[in-house]
Amino acid sequence: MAESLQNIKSRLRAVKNTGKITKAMEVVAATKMRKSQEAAFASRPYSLSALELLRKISDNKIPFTDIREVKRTLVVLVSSDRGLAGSFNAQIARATDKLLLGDQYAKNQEHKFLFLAVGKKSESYIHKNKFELAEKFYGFGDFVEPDETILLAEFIMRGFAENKYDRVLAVSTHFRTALTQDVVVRQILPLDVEKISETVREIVPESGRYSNLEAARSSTPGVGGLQTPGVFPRATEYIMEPKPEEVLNTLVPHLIRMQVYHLVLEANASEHSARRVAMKNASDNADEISSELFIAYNKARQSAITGEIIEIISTQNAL
Amino acid sequence: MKLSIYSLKGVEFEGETKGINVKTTAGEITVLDHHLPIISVLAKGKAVIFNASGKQEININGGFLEMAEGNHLSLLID
Repeated sequence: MAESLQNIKSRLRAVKNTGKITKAMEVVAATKMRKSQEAAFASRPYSLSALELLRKISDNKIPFTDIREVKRTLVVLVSSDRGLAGSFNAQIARATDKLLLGDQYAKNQEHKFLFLAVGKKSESYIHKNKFELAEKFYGFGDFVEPDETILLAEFIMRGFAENKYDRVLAVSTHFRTALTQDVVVRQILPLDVEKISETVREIVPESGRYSNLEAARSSTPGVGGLQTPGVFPRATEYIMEPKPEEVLNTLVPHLIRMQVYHLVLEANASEHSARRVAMKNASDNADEISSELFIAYNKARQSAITGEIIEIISTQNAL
Repeated sequence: MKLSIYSLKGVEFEGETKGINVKTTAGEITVLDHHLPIISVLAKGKAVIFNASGKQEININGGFLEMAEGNHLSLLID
C-alpha cells in the first residue's frame, strides 16, 4: 500500500474542489468573452460611419499624420490585470522582446523606448525588465466603457502633440477566432487611416458565431462595406459647418479614441477566451486526476480490507 | 428621411423621421427632409427628433452630423 486512505481521500477532495473552481471560471470567462465581442460589434456602425466621414473630408491635411524623425517611441502593452489565462500575458511579453530586438530604430543609440502599461501584468513585465514606464492603466479587463478608454487615448495623443514621443506602437492581442489569438504590433500614431480601417475590419472574427456579420452589415445603406480611401466617389459637395479643418480636428481624435477602444475590447475578448481555454484544460485535468485518485482510493481500501481478513484468518488458524 | 444615430455603444436610433433639431458648434440647426448635403460638428445639448407620432429627445455630448445624398442623415455621437 503506497499511500494512506486518509491521504488519498483528502487529495481527492482537494482536486475535486479545484475542478469546481476552474469549471466556474471557465463559464464566467466564456460569458465575458461574448460580452466583449458584443461590445465590439455594437461599435462597428459608428466606426464605419466615422471612417467614411473622414474619407469625405480628407482633402485637407489630417492632423496626427505628420511623420517626424523618430527619437522616442511609446510602446503600449495591452495585457490583463489578472493571471490564469494560459499563455496570454507571456505572449505579449515575448512579442515585446521580439519587437525591441528587431525594430528598425532599436539599434539607434539616440532612440529611446517608453512604455505604457495597460493591465497589471504588463506593468510587472516592464518593471522586471527595468524599462521606462510612462503611465499605467488598470481595470479595463471586464466590461470596459468607451469613457474609460478615452483617458488612455487622450494620454497618448497629448504626449504625441507635446513631442514627448514621435511614434506610438501598440502590442496587443488580435482575436482571430475563439480558439486562436495572435499578438500583433500596430502603429497608432502617426495616424494611418488605412490601418484604422483594418482594425475595424478585423472586428469580425474569421470563423464562429459572429463571422457572418460582415455580409449583413455591408448591405445596410449608408454604412456600406469598407472601401479603400481614394476609391470613394466624391460626387457630393458638402456644406461644412464649421470649417473643414475644424471638423477634421475634431474627427481625428475621435478616430484615435475609437481605435484605442477597439484595441482594448479585442484584447479583452482574447484574454477571456484564453482564460476559458486554460480553465477548460484545467478542469479536464482535474477530472482525470480525480478519477485516477478515486481508483487508487478504492484499491487502497480493498487491500486494507484484504489485509485485515488475512490477519483474522491467520489468527484463527494459529489458535 | 432616414435617420441613424450611432454611438460607440451601439445604434441609438434608426428609422424614418420628419426632421431633427440639434445644436452644432456653429449654432442650432434643424435638418428637414431633403436638406442639402452637410457635415457639421455637434455641440453638447439635446437633439429633438420629430417623428410622425411626436417628439423624441436624445442627449448629446458631442459628435458629428452628416446629411448624405439619398435623404439619409447620420449622427455620430459620443
